[in-house]
This record gives sequence, C-alpha cells and structure tokens, in this order.
Amino acid sequence: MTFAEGLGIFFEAVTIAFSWPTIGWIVVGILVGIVIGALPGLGPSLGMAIMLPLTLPLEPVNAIILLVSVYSGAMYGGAIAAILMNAPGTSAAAATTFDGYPMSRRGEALKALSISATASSIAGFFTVITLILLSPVLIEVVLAFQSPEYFLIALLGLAMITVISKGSMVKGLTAGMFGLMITTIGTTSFAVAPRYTFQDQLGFTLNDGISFVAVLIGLFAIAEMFKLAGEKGGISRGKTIMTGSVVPGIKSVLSHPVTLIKSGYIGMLIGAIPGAGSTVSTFVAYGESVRASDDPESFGKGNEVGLIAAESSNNGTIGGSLIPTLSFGIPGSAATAVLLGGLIMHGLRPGPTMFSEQLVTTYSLFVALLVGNVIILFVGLFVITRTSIITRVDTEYIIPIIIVLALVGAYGLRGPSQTWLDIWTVLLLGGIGYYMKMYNYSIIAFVLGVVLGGIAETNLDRSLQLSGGSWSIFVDPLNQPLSFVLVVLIAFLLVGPIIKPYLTKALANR
Amino acid sequence: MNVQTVREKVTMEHGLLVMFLGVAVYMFIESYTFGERAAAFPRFTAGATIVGALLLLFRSYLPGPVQKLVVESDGAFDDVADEELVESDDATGETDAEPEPDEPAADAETATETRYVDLKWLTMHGSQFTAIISLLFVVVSYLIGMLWAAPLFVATYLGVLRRPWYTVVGLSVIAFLLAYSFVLVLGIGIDGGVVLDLGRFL
Repeated sequence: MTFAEGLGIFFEAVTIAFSWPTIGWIVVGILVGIVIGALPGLGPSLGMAIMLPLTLPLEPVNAIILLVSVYSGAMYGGAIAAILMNAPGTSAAAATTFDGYPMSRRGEALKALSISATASSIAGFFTVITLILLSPVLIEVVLAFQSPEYFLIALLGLAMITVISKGSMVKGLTAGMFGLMITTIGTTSFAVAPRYTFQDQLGFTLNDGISFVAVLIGLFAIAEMFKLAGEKGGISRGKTIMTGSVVPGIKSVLSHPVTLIKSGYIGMLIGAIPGAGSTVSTFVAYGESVRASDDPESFGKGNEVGLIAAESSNNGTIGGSLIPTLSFGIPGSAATAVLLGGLIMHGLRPGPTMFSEQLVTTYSLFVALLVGNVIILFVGLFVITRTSIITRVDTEYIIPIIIVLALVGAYGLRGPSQTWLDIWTVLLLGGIGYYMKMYNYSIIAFVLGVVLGGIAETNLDRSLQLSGGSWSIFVDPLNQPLSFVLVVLIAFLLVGPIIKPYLTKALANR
Repeated sequence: MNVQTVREKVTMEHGLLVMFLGVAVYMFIESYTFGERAAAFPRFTAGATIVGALLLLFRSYLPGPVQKLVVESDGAFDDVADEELVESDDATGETDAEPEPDEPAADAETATETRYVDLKWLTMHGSQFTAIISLLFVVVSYLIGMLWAAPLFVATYLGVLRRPWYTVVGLSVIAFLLAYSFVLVLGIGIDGGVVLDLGRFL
C-alpha cells in the first residue's frame, strides 16, 4: 500500500468517525464508560461485557467504536473516585490515589480532577497518534505471520500472561487450556464434524458450541458481582468537598511535558505486553516519576507530578494494548480481551485483515479514540467537577442491576434455541469465575483461551494440512524460522522459572 | 490421615480442579470418536488441561524444580507495584490486568471485610446469597418471563438487605425499564414464560 492510499483510507476513517450515528456512539460510549469506571468495584471489562449484547444490531464498525469508547471512558472514570474518595473505581487507578486523594483533602479536588482529565486525554491522544504512525510498520510485521505462527502466537500469549501475572504459572496455563478446550464443543468449521454435542442426552444439541460472549459476561459481570457481594467496603463513606479551581490543573499538566510524554509512552509500551495492563503501567510510571524527581519525599502527599504520571500512563495503556489485540489477537488486558470478543462477534478477525481489507475499520477505531479523548477532556473539566455523586453509589444497589443487565443481555445473544443455554452458561461461568478469582487462577488466560480457541484451532488445522499432519512444521528452523523462534520463546518462558535459580547460582559462583 | 483431616484439607479449589480434570478426561477420551482433523485440537487442549490439573492437585508431592512452576510466584512487574501498594489503603477488586493476589481470597479478605446477609433465621455469606437469588431469578424468568422477573429480583434482593422502600421501588422500576430497553433494542421475547404470559399487557 502506498502512502497516498494509506492517507486516503485514513481520511475515509475520519469521515466515518464524524458521521452520524458513529459520533453519537462515541459520546454514549465515553459517558457510559466514565460512569462505570467511577462506580466503585466496576471497571472497563465489566462495562464492555454487559454492553456486548447491545451492540448486536449495530454495524460492526459502530459496535467496536462503542466498545472502545466505553473502554477509554472507564479508564478515565476510575480516577474520579480515586481522587475524591480514595477508592479507585478500577485497580488501574490505584496509583492515582497516592497523590490525587491528598490533593482533595487539602482543598484541591477540582485541580486534581482537571489534572486527571487533562493528562488522561493528552496522553491518550498522542499515544493513539503514535499508534496510527506505527501502523504501516505493524502491517509489515503482521503480514509476515502465517498459520503456524498464528497458532504459536496464541500459545505465546497464554504463556506470557501466566509468566507476567502474579501467581502460579501452571494455574494460568491450566485455565488457558481449559478455555481453549471448551471452544471445541460444537461443529468444527473445517471438517463439519459435531463434537461433544450431547445429541442423545440433552433436549437440544450443542452444535453451535458455547457462546464466548456468554462466557465473557459470566466471567466479568456475574463473577465480579458474586465477589463484590461478599465484600464490605464498596461504599464510599467520605464526604467530598469540591473546592479548588480547574485552570491551575490544566496549567500544571502543560508545565510538566516530560512527565506527561514519558508516562504516556510507559503506559503504551507496557500496555502492549500481554498480561501486564494498566495496573502495572501506572505503578511503573509513578515509580519512574518518583525516581526522576528532585523531591521524592513529597510523593504520596499530594505531588501533582505523581498524579500526572499515573493518569497519563493509565490512558496511554489503551493505545498500547490495541497493538497485540488487533495485530495478533492477543489482548494486553482483560478489557481488550472483551474487545477482542466484540471484534470476533461482529465477524472481524484480528490479524492481517485488520490491516488490509478492514484497515478503514481499524483507522476508524483509532480516530474514535482520538475523538473520545477530546470528549474526556470536556466532560472531565466541565461535567465531572459538578457530579461527584456517582462515586458514592452503594455497591448493594449496583449488584442486582448488573446481574439483570448481564442475564437479560445473555438472552438475546443467539436464536431462541440457544437462549437458555446461554443464560445457564453465564450463571455457571459466573460461579466458576468466582472460585477461579478466589484461588488465583488467571481469568485473562481463561478468557484468552475462550476467545482465541476458534482462531487457534483453525490455524493449527491449516498448519497440519500444510505439513501433511506433521507437528514438525512448528520446529523447522530452515523452512519456518519465525515459528521456530516462537517455539523457543514459549519454551524459554515456560522453562525459564525452573532454570533461573540454577543459572543465578552458577553465575554467582563464577 | 483420618476422614476429618481430609475434610479439613479439601477446599473448593480441589472441587474446581476435579471439575477441570473430569471435563478434560471426558473430552480427551471422547475425541477418539472424531475424525483425525477434528480430534487434534481437543486432544491437545484436553491433554494439557489434564496435566495441569494433576500437577495442581498433587503439588505437595512434586519434586523441587517442578514445584516452582506450580507454586505462587510474583509477577514480572510486581516489585514496583508492591512497593507502591503498601501506601494504598483502599484498592478495589476490579482489575484490568488481573494481577492476582499471592494468597487465596481467604487471606486476601483480611484487606476487605466479608459481607454477610442476615435472613433472620439464617446468616449467609454475601456471595452465596447472591448466587442463590440469581439462580432463583433465572428459574422465575423461565416461568413468568425475564421482563417481569427482573424487578421482582431487584426488589427481593434489596428487600432482604433491608434497604429503604423508595430505593427498592426506584431500582425495581429501573430494572424493568432496562430489561424493556433490551426488548426494544434486540427484539427479544422476555415478556412471557412457560406458566404466565403477560406480554399482552405491554
């Protein structure tokens, strides 16, 4: 593709993003996302999961834009309760509490909120611009991948998530493999062979398999509500005093361009690593701002630089997490796993097509994020500063409403013959997800398996067809060097933790 | 080891792993009834799930190096996050990146107080109560339709938790309107059940 062609597609995407009703969905998505992010205990993945069924009647491009706008809005929304109540709406906003809440306590709540809105939107804006500029390079990389590589990249994603996240690696891999396994229920797309359909045992057959959207709703909405229902402390009891001024907050962000840019790119870089996500990136960016400061003692006591670092990296993560999601179908976070589910639900396959036939959709998504950041700035500066009440909503009121939304949404996922199957799937997976969370089994690895199962199996089948059924296609350094490198990387990730102590010991003895 | 000791040591995690193992063993065996192409992927994933579940079930008996893979460990970025988290009092449970806590929730719950629901004749864990009432919501939805069951569910939930009557009524109405918005947007037939069909009143 030439530069002129790329530019033409970009302008087409701009036209789509500003056309009606797309622009309306961006506004709706951002507002819904901000409210969901600001409510204690809720976050982007839950918000996107309960929105998934509602996107069914929409055009694919509008559906994905709505979802990504909810994601962007919720990432910002999490900061509101963090600043006003010391109760972050999402864990990604936990670093925001360190300096945001002390600022509120000393009468600078409005300034802190305006710093949050300005830093979030500016960092979100320039990281997405970077993503657009990077896309020609991404296209080249993505096109180098064929079926064997796509199968291996799914395994690599699972391995990375289990290594990077805290907890037992085997738990993560088992969860991921279980997720992959349940996608094999139903008729295969390539061999038209029914599998595990229980035709004789059930009153209906499982020919269409288990709906991965129902699984997502169960894991992110129902399991989260079960968990929240067992915990006190969702109610923000503090009293918000909205004092201070908005303008100094904007000036403060603009007077710290280095922190803003550095933290935004830290967010973007870490966001691109599967499993790392915004929780990690905000802490890394915050730590870096403390390290680079001449006055590290003032951090945690209302230092504006700390707040700028946390908030800019938070929204910078969004652009980064879209890189592996759109390029390889490997989500960088739970929210992008739901986004990936949305893409597949609307017939959009991550990978080369997102950067060739679907490039206009991909660019529309990026432009929607840019527009979304402008909306965040406007809403953050002029609306949120007057509506702190949403942060004080009791979780006891949220739980039944979310359960209703989740189950009613599941009802409409597929045709009438699958309705009750999907509803029971949501409830069952809610229960399984609750216990998986309780015992530290990676939910992202499980979701990744469920969402990627179809793609991974199709690519495994194609690879085995290419090799005449031989698995050696994955370890052939001469003919499939990229596959070989991926296998080595997976092996390194899995065996690394075992050999690391021996290597460290050997090096220490030298 | 007597029966009581075994019972004390068995947790819901064992139940979860036995479920993983049972499903995987069934799917592995059943895969031999499929053609070769259709069997490759389910056999691979079921095999890997069986190995993982067995390793986790018998983790106490594993040799040292293999045990390293099974036991809980810090994530790659946790040094930074942990240092900063010490200063945070009030982080919530929602995670974007799912950084898992080191210990099972039984220990993690020391950070957040457990919520119990008092049903006068019985005190129940909040999660357990929510799961049971959600199950009832689905059953009642099957009987009378989800559109009508939704406000009943919300009213019952909040009523049991003894919330003020105006919030019970207000949120029940909101639940009905939300369910009705799904009817309008998705055109789903949730206004009638197998026992009662109130759809004609709409």
